Amino acid sequence: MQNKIRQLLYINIFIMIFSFQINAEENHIEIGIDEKLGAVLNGNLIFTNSDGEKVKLSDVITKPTLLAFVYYECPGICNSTLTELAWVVDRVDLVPGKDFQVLTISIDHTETSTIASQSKIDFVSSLKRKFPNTAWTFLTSDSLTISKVTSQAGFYFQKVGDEYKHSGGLIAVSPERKISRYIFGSQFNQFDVKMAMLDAKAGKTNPTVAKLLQFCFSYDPEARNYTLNITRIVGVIMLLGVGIFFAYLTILKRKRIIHK
Amino acid sequence: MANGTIAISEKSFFEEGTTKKAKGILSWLLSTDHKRIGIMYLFSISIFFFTGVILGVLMRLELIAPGRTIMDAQTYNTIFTLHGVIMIFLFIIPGIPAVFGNFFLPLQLGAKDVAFPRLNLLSFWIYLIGVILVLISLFVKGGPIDTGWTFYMPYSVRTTTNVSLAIFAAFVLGFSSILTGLNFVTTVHRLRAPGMSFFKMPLFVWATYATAWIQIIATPVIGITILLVMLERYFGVGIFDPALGGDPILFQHMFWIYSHPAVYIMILPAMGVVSEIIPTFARRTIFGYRAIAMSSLAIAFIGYLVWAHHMFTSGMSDTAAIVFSFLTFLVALPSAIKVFNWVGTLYKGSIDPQPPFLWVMNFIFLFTIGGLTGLVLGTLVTDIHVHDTYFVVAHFHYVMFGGTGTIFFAALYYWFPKMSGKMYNVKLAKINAGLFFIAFNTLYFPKFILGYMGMPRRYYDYLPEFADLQLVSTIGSWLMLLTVILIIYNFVSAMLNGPKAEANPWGGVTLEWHIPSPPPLENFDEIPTVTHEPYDFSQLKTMKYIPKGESND
Repeated sequence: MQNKIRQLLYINIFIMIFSFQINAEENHIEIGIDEKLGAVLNGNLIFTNSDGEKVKLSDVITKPTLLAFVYYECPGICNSTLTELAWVVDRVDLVPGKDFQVLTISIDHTETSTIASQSKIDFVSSLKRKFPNTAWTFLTSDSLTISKVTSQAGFYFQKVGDEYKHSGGLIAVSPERKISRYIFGSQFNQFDVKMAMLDAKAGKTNPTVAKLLQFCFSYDPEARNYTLNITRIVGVIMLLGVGIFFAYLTILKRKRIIHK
Repeated sequence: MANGTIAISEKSFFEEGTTKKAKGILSWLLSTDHKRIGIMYLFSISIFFFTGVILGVLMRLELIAPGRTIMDAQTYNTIFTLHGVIMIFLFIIPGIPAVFGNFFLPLQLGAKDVAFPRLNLLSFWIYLIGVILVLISLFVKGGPIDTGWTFYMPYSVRTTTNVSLAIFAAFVLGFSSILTGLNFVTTVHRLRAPGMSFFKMPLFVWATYATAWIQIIATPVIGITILLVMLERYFGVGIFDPALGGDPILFQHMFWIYSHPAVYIMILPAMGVVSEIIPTFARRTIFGYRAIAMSSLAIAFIGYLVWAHHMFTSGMSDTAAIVFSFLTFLVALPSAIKVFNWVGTLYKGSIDPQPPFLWVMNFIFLFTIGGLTGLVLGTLVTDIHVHDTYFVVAHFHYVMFGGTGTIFFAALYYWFPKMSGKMYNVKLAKINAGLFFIAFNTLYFPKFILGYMGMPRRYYDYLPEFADLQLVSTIGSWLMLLTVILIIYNFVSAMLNGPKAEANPWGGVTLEWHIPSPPPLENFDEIPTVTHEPYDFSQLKTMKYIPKGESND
């Protein structure tokens, strides 16, 4: 038992030192994601969609949006990011095109709408659920626009040789183009995605079940995920119990006790 | 108050128990009779009160002069912690509800017992288990707890003393408190005598009722907090300790979310007792009955929303601090409503200054000082100056000891003849009330000045300029010890060979004065029907038991 605890302690210390190093790098971050929660993406930036049409960002982002920065001919992690993204949007318990949409923006300015269109066919067709064609948009643009939109989102990457070095992750954007959440990693949890989309939608009406979910789970910015808000739940259960007890005492007629 | 309630029973509850087989001490320990349970609480609580007094006197003795006097710093730390833990968890929280609530709630409602007599006995047993755990924590390896009664983080996770066991004891004691609360609420709703509507209940019942709700709702919070501290201590889960990624301020919030309402668990029943004693000794119905009843509920409610005023210097937003300061001021309103109504009751009353009344006068004086200095602490600017100084220590001793403690004695002087059937030495009791007043102010008033001058609380040593007032305070502690010993002597000698008490020595009119002293096992031969308002003294003429010197015609 003691050995195990000691092992855990060492692992903890190792993780702590390691994370400090990452933090140190984040001060002059070159590659990675620097959270810009609350930042608003410029709606006037012009992109090209997979049909070759010029579109304004404000016309694309009109509902809660799951944004991913990738490039379509990426040999590294973007492919798996996109695959995982497709996996999770296939399962997330929201109506695509109505409750949310997906947006991928290429960080490689040499990529054209033809490449984007091929990529769209690959991923949208892999989805098993009924998925409206308009609910997943694949955009490309020039290097200046790309650098503007990525730096607004805190997404930093570098070109090394023919490849781009960058990190994976999803960004939840509200209909007003405000960044509301970052979902990190290369694998995504449908629950996290659902919560992020509901949060992005916040301010508009949510279904009751979703409200309940938001009540019971809150976002922990340190741990970067949704945690069960135990104090809230326990508090509600307790007050309910006390309320029922009080109602029982006052509403139910008291029985006369028969004394011998 | 009631017509046709003539209780005829030859045997009192001392002679006849609820257990048929058990004899001797077991007939008490296994008794489900609310009166016997009340007496058992009284007995155990008195022992802990005296223990707490001794610890307090030892602390004062150490502080009689700068530097080491009779103990080292670590011993001093454990002694002030134990003084706090014992006084708060074992004496003042259970004090009035467990002793007088148990004994008099069913009597004043006209019931034969509480709603759940067995649960009541279970509460007592849980209390005893809690007590045993506290005792064990003193003697096992690691040593007695030294964190202060607030168990603040992160020290309480890092100290090597027996924190876990001691706080687990507080957890267990919490259960006792919750069960008592449930029992009382149900009793008030279900077992009122016919004719007794909510607004015909005596005010002590109202206060106990409001307290019971606080016990039910607030106590689980400390339970959860304690479990989290234990989780942190045993498994290193980071909840409160910043080194593990926890948040010590979170602990303070959770602790005070319980412990501030707990202050009202302590003081509300005391206010209820005051509302009983004043009409009886002024021979006048209470002024503003409904206002007093409702102010108990108001205090219970607002009391939940002020906890962070203990944390003004701990680090929270200015907005939060201002809101909590404002809410704190709001509590002063229902408290003042009570005090004004009590004074209003005395106006033009025919006052009979018997010992219980004199103790209530002590209470009003001391509690007013305690309450007003509370406003100094509730104001953000002044709080920063006196925070964590002797000023705070003086304030809460005026409120808790000068308030609840004083009323504990007042209640004992008022109801002792009813509980035991014996009368104490009235003259000594009156002298005691005066002595207590002098001792109390000598002991605690210098602390206000010391605190204002900058003497920090909990310190083992101090600067030479504080020495004179510290000496005065220590002399006060000796006077207090003398007073307490005299009080105990008076009651013990009355119990052993005091004269037989009248059934209604003070001329009270609430239901407990309609039955013999000590009451029979089932209280009322026949459940009374209530026809009068609770403090209608016109019924005194028609009552079976009236004080000597008041004729029946």
